[in-house]
Amino acid sequence: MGSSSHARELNPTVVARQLMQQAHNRDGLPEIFAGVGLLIGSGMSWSDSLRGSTAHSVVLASTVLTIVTYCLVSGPIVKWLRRRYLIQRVGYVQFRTNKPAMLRAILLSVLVSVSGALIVWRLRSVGPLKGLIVMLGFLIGGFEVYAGRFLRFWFTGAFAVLAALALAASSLSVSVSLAVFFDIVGVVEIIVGGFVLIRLLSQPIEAGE
Amino acid sequence: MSKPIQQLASIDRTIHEPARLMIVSLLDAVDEADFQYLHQATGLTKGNLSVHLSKLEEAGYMAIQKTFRGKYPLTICRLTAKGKQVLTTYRKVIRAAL
Repeated sequence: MGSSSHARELNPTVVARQLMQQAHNRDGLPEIFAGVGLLIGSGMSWSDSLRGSTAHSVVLASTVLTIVTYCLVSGPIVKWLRRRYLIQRVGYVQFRTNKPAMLRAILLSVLVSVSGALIVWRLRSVGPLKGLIVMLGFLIGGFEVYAGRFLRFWFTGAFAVLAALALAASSLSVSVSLAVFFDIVGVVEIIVGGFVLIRLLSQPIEAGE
Repeated sequence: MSKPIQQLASIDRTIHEPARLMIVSLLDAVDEADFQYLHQATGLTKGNLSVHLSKLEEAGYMAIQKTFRGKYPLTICRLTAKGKQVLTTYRKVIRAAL
């Protein structure tokens, strides 16, 4: 196992992907957009307070649609912002168009949003699901540490795990806990990403090649 | 037929150099990237990166295009077919030998 991970470290493709991932996260924009996505996602859980009224289904369905749309448009928006305003600082890169991967991402975002909506819809009938929050915390925290490639992602990842554990142990209902979890993790992501972006913008632009 | 370990002797020395291998690997994973992006992704100094890019271009492994995006000058780099072929061969030789 050790030698296998060592071989992966030496693989130029793996190293290149890690470097690209690091360059991708350098300006804080992915965190800001992820944070906004989490805030939108919290709408799903807050809609539970409308349970019993017809507005509940409408809010839930429109949140799912918003999340899926957001997943599709946030990538191109980040790309546009970088090319329009940050190109002198972060450089230009054109990634290969990977249609199967794009299709998988679309299907995954639809699947996650619809499953989330179904879970929220059935929350009361299936009883307390505090384990779901803990699972989400570890999932988000783990992903941050794995994909982040910067020390700050260890901080936000650990924060997501701790927030999930604290909310799971609280006396709040599952839907409120979920909503609060999405909100506070989203806000922390936006603050950290915003701080990184401001710091990047305050640095002098280096002379070109 | 030579043994895999013996093929290491005939490995392409232009891309075997660590900094150039890093550049070529990065460019292999994308369609194209500019000088600034490569500078940040590799962590090489601008002077050092410039020298390595020139060597790769001289070897015909990389194409460099100078252009502008608005007022910002872009030095866009992309791997040539020859560069991709050399990297594929390099990977095969290293994988077989090690």
